[in-house]
Amino acid sequence: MNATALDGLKVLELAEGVAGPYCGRLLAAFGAEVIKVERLQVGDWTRGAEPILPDVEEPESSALFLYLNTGKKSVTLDWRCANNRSTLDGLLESADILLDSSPSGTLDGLGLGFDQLHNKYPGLIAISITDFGNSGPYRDWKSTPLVSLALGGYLYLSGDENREPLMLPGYQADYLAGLHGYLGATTALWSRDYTGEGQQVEVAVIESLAALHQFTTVMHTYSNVVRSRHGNRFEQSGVYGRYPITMLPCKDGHVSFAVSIEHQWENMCTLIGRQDMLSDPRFATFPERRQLAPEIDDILIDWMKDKTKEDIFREAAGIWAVPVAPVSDLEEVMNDSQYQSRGLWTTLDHPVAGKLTYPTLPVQMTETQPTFDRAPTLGEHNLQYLCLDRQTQR
Amino acid sequence: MGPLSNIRILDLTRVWAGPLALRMLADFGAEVIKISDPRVPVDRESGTNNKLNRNKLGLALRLDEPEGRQLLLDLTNISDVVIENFRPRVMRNFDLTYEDLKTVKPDIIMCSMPGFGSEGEYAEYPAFGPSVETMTGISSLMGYPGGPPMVSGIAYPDPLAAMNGAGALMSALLHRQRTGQGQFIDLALSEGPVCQIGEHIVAFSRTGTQPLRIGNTHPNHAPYGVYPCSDDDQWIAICVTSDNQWAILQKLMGNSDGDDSRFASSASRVSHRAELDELVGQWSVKHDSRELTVTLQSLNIAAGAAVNNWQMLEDPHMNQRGFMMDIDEPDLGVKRYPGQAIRLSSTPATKQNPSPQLGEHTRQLLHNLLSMSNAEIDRHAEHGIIGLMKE
Repeated sequence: MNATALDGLKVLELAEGVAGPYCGRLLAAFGAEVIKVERLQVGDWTRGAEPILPDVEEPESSALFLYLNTGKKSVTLDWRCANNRSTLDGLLESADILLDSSPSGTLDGLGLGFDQLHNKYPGLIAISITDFGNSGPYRDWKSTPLVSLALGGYLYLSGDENREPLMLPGYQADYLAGLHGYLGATTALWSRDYTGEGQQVEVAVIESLAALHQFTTVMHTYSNVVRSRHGNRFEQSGVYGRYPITMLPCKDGHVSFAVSIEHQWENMCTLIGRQDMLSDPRFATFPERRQLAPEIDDILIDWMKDKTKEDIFREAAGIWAVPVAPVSDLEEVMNDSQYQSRGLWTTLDHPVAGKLTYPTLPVQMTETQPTFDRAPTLGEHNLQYLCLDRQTQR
Repeated sequence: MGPLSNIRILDLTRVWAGPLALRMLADFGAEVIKISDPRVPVDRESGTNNKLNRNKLGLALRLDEPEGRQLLLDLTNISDVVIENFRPRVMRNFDLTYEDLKTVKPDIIMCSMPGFGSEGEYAEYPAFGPSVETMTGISSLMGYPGGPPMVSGIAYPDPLAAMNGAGALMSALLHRQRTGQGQFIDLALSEGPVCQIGEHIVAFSRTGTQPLRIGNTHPNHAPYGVYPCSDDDQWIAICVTSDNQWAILQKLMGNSDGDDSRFASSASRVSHRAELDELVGQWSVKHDSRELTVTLQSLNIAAGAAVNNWQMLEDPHMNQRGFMMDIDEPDLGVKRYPGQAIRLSSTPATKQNPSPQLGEHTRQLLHNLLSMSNAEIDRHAEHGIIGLMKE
């Protein structure tokens, strides 16, 4: 029987949307009991968000909701209403973690500010994940995944150089904030083991993006260069430039290259039968190769035009140790033997949405492997946690 | 200093994902000892290494020499975590697998972060963020409408592996705290992005339909996208999600066709997206991206300038919140970096030490942790087993 890392911990999730609930999903996967408090009748807004599964009854039809809320319990409660305060207090009483995403000031306005909570529940860890945080001039601003990427400095870096920048698909900014929330929660739990005291964990989505750049800001502070976007090609400036790091067409699709180390370049030239390039002074260094990107692209495209992406991957990466990979669509990803053999997928049967395949997490752990159960139906656990009949409450 | 100061980590990782994972914990006070090859100079010039390794200690050690390996085992014996991101065969060749480490420290937590995981068909394939990214499905969703798949251009799998790795390590540490049990964590760089398009995987498993690439657009809302601004290569994201917001924007744009039926409802705006985007673009291009952001946000419309590196560093919001971190680099002067996004109210991340020089703490660590004499340390240095920072 698999142990779980957070066994015995209780989380009260008031959070809605993607960032907070993704943090909650991780807490549940590592073994915490996560009680999700949803709005009456409609629930978390993601219950109405794309992608919507055809022929599945609302509010259980959103693939986004089903994915983000695996392993949680659902109760419906208008927790902002004073009449329900004793019910909320009852839930808080036994909670180790409060996970919230409401706009800045909401909890304070309800007498649930951190200081008040801390007085009453000294061990409680209160996590707040919002777009801009609880202070500063943007505190009350509105965001979307696109706006967060823009202000967090990610948007500017992707897309064609002569077109508008291109966003990462879906909810990337929010997922990254959720990961920050999980690390903040576990760090606060570690601290609590020694002090007995809970504390507040605050994460702003735009800061979690700004924090995760590789060399974006140091290109300015160290080299006084603006980092910009280059289509599928990686950065080109001076010491930051490497090549070929790009995506190129082959017989049946596209492949990507990430040649970043000298011996990989040597192997690549040998693999494609162009050892002459190794002694050609024009290709002597990575920065010079980066400037010759169009010429290198032509050479590689010509070498690949009759080869499939699968063959190129196995030959280049498997035999010649050149970092190359196929560009896969979702079907190819789901059929990939490596992901399957690693156990990246799990199939969960939901009473309304039925059997679906879900990604788990990118880790395999020998003692505390994350576990996944289906998402709850709206108010499914009202009876258990609120002592209320589910239908009355809804 | 910091909530994790009683955790000692041996950091054998290189490049981006691994170093960032441990820097997250180092920011919160973990004693992260970065073990590097004494023959390989540390890059202090580009800034990348300095950014990803702040708050760590530097120990230069040859893992491929028997005496160096023994020193690593001696250090493992008094550490909590060992982490590496080589290809799997490298640690096998050093005889430093989890089984080897467990022999000297039964409750050690070891984390490996190779490209495709430690086992399976692709285990030994080389992998970097920009290549594995395209195998995760995210590229198949990324692209301009009607265009080919695209890559992020920023090695997107790396920061995801870092965050998942740091989270898994904390989970394992909490588990050890409660049970006394260590474990092995096998993290695949190639899997992080898959878990951040989970909604599309779940839907695909039912419908079998590959979603269209929609660029910056939204299926149900318009105008929603990225529009040009007045300066060269300056852009703003504007997301109108209600009729009321559209009315406000229209008024701001001074659009005389206020009652244009093409744009009356969300649905009709979506079906006339191209004309609408052109109108908004003709207006936005006369404005400064950051000023326009403030104007639109004051009217409750979600908007954000697509900031570049120096604009992000001077962002008034993050600066006012004290997010940026100034570090005094001994050889370079004070440099400003993005700080730690996780704000803990009673045990905040306050450490701001510069990343170590090659072997900067070798002598200190071997002396303090392994009680080695200066003579022993010097002998190892002469034999090239360890590296000492040049005085």
